[in-house]
Amino acid sequence: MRRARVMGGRQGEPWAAVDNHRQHSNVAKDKMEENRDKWLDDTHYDVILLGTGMVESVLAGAVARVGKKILHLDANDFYGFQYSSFNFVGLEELIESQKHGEDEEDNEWSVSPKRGQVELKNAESRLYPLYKYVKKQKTVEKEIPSSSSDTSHENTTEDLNAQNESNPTPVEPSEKTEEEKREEEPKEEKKMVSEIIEVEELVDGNEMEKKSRHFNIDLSPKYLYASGEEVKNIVLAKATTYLEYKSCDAMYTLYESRIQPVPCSKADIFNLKYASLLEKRSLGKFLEYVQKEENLASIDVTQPFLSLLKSQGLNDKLISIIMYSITFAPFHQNRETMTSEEGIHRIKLTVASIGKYGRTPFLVQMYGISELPQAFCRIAAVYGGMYILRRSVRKLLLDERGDYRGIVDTEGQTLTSDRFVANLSYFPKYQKPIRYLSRAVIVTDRSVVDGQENVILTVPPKSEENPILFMQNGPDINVTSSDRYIVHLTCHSVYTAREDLDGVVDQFFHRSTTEEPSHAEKPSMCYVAYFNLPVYARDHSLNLPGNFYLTDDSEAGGVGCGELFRQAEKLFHTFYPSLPFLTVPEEEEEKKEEEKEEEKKEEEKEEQDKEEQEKEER
Amino acid sequence: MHSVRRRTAEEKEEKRIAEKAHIDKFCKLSETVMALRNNEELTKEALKTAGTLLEMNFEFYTVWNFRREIIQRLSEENSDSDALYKEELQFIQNAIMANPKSYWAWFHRKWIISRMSQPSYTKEIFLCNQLLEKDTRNFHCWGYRRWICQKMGAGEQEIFDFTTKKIEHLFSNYSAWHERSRILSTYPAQQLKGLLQSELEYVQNAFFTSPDDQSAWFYYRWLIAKFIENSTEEEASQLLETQFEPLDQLIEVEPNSRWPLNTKLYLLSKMNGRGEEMKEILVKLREVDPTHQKYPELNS
Repeated sequence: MRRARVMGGRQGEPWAAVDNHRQHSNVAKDKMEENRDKWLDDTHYDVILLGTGMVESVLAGAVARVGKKILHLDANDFYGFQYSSFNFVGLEELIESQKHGEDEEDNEWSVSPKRGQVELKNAESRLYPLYKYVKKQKTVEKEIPSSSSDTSHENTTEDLNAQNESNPTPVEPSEKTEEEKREEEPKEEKKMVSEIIEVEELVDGNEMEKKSRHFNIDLSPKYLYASGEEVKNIVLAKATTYLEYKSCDAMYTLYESRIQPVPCSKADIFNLKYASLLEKRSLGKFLEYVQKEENLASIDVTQPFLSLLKSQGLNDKLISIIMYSITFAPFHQNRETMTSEEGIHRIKLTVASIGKYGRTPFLVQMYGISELPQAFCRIAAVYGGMYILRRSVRKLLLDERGDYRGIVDTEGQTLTSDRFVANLSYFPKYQKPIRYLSRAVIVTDRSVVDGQENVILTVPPKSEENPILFMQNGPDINVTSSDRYIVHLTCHSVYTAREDLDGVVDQFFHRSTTEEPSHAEKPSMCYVAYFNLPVYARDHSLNLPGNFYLTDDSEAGGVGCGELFRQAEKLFHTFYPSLPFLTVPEEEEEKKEEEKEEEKKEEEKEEQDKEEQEKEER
Repeated sequence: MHSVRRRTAEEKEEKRIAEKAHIDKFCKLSETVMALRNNEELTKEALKTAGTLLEMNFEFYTVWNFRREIIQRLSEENSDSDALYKEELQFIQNAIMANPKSYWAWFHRKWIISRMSQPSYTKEIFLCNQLLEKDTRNFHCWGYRRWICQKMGAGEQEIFDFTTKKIEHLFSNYSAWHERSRILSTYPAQQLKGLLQSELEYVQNAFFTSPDDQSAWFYYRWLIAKFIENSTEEEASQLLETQFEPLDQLIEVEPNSRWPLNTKLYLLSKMNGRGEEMKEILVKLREVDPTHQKYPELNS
C-alpha cells in the first residue's frame, strides 16, 4: 500500500519530482524557513550520496580521493546503515523503537521520514539472569563463651588458617583478618570469624547496561576474506590507518550435531576425524582439481555448481562441506541456481585466503563492522567531502528529459550535482519485494569452543531451511565486555527470526533461569535479541533516470563483503573511467618520493662534504 | 629481469671497490688470526678477533677449531666457565641463524653443551623447535634435537608426540616421518607390534589425502618391513593380506598414480607365488610412469 501511494501520485508523469517526503505545503514551508540556518554554503557538488552503507561509503572515499566534491547524507544519526554497530543500550533502544513504531507505518505523515532508516521486524530481546558460583570469604560475628580459655581460642584461629590454606582463592583480601585481630583484643567474648562460603552471584541486565559501551553489536556481521576484494582495496586505499583486524581463530561446521573443523588444506584433510579414507581422497582430489586452470577449461562453468559437485563423484556429506563451509556462497545466494563459476571462484577465494594472515581465511574487524564504512567516510572527509547525518532527501529534481539534476533536502534546501547515488532502501519504487534476514544476537558467559575467541561456524540445513551462519566474537576484538562472548546468528528468513533460529540457539546455549544454575556442557546465555533485517534488492526491470544510481546489498547474509567493494568500483568507473579507484593520488606518492630523493641527495651531499673535508685535512 | 635497474659502469666500479675493501679486510684478519693461532695466544682478545673473522665467514672451520682451543684454555684458567659457555652459545646461535646448515656451528654447540655443568636443555629444545618451524627438514637441527633429548633423558613418548605434531602440521615432512621411524626402532618388538595398526591407519590418512607425496609411502614401507622383521612368516602374510583392500581402493580412484601401484608391487614381492599379479602391475607401472622403465628390475 505504502509503495503504491508514494509512487502512485505521479504515475503517468515523467518523474517531474518524486515526492520523497509527502511534502504538504504549509507545514513543510514553515519547516523550510525554520531550518534555513542549517543550509549549506555550497549548492553544487560533483556527486551527492545518500546513505552511509558499505557501498556508498567506499564510493564516497574513492570519489573524494580523485578530487571531486561530494556531499554525503544519511537519514540516520549513525554511520553504516545496515552495517552499523551499536552498544548495548543503543541496540536495546533500536529494538524498543521498532516495537512501538509499527503502527505509524500506515500513517501518511510518518512513513516517509523513516525511509533509509534501519527498520527491524519482529524485534525482541530478553535478558537471562546468569548465576555463577563464586567462593567468597565472609566475616561472621560469633559469640564466644566468656569461659573460653586461651587454648580454645588458639584452636579456632588455627582452624581458620587451615581453612584459608586449603582454599587458595579467597576473594577478600587479607585486610579483613587484620580488622579481626584488632576487634578481637578489646572484646574477648565476641569474635569475628571469617568463613569461606559459596555464593551465587547474579549477573543481570544492570550489568549489561553498566558495561554498555564495551559492546559493539553489528546489525550485519561480516568477516573479511584475507585475499578478497575488500582487503585488497582497504590496503590500496591505505584505510589501514583507521582500521584494525584480528585473524579469525577457527572454522567449524556442524556435522551430526557436533562441532567439527572444516578441511581446506591438505593438512586439514589429513587431520580430519570425521571422514573416511576414500572421502579424504575425493575431497583432496576435488580441491586440487578446481585449483588447476587447465581442468576448468573443459567444464561448463554456467552449469549449476551442485551438478558439478555431483558429477565429480562427491557424496552428500562432502557436497555439504564444500557448499556451506568452503564456498560460503549459499548464505547470500540460492544454492540450487548458483553457477559453477561462482562456486569455483569462492573455493579459490577461501583457499587463497588461508595462511595469508592466519590459519583461517578470515579477518575480523575490531570494534565492530561499522568501522569499515566509517573509515571510508573518513577518507572522503579528509579529501574535502561534506558529511551530514540525520539529513535526507525530500524531493528529486529532474529536467525535461527526465534526467536527474538535483535534490531538495529535508531542510528544504535545493542542491544540485552531476550525479546522485543512493542506497536502494530510500527508493521503494525500484525495489523487489523485500526479503529479510533472520538475526539473533546472543551474549554468553564463555566460548562455544574452549580456547577459541573468534570463530566461524556453518550450520547446514536439515532439509528445506536455509543454512545458518554462526559467528562468535570474543573480548579481544573489543566488541563485548571482558568476560563475555557475543554470538551472531544469520540466515535468510523463512519465518520470523525467532522461529528460524531458536533451534540453533537451544542447541548451543543454555538459557539460565532462576531455578537452574548454569550448565557445565554449554555456555549460558545472559542476553538474546532476535530481529529480522530487511534486504533490499533492485528491480532491474525499471530504468533509472540519467545520472541517478542506486546501490544494493548483493551480499547480505554472506560472510565477506568483496561484492560490495566491487559494486562501488564499478560505479566509480562508470563515473570516471580513466581515474584510479581508491589509490592514494599519485601526486602524494610522488611528493613522498620526491621528499625521499631530496633526503637522499642531502645525505649524499653531506657525505661528499665530509670526504672533501677529510681530503683537505690530509 | 624486469623492473631491476641496470647498474651503470660507475656503480659497478663502486660495488667492486666496496667488495675489494671487504675482501682485503677478510684476508688481513685471516692472517692475524692464523698468526695468533701459531703463537698459541689463547686469550679472550684472540677469541674476540676470531669471532669477528667468523662473522665474516661462518664456514671457516679452522677458526672454529681455534675457538675451541681458546675456550679449553680459558676454562682451565677460570673457575666459573659457565658464563663463558653461555656467551659462546649466544655466538653460535647467531651463526646458526645466519646459516642454519653449518656443520661446524652445530658441532661446536654440541661440544659446548657437553662441557657445561648445568646446560639448559629446555632452552636448546626451544631453539630447535623454533628452527624447525622455519625449516621443517633441517637435518642438522633434527639430529641435534635428538642428541639433546637423549642428554636430558626425555621420554620416547615426548619425541614421538613431537613428530606427530610436526606431521599434523605438514605431512609431507619427510624428516618428521624419519624421526618417527627412528624412535619406533628403539621400542621393544612387542610394543611396536601393538602400535602397528594405529600407525598404519595414520599413514594411510596421508597417502589417501595426497597419493603423490612420497614421504608417507616410505614410512609405510618401513612399517611393513619392520613388522615382517620381527614376526613369523604366518603373521607376516596375515598382515600383508589385510593391506591390499585399502590399496586397491586407492588404485581404483587413482589409476594413474604410481605410488599405490609401486607399493602394491612391494607388498607382493614380500609374499610367495604372486608373480602373475606382479607382472600385471609392472605393465601398468610402465604405462603410468614411463620415466622409470627400469626400476621394476630393481625391485625384483
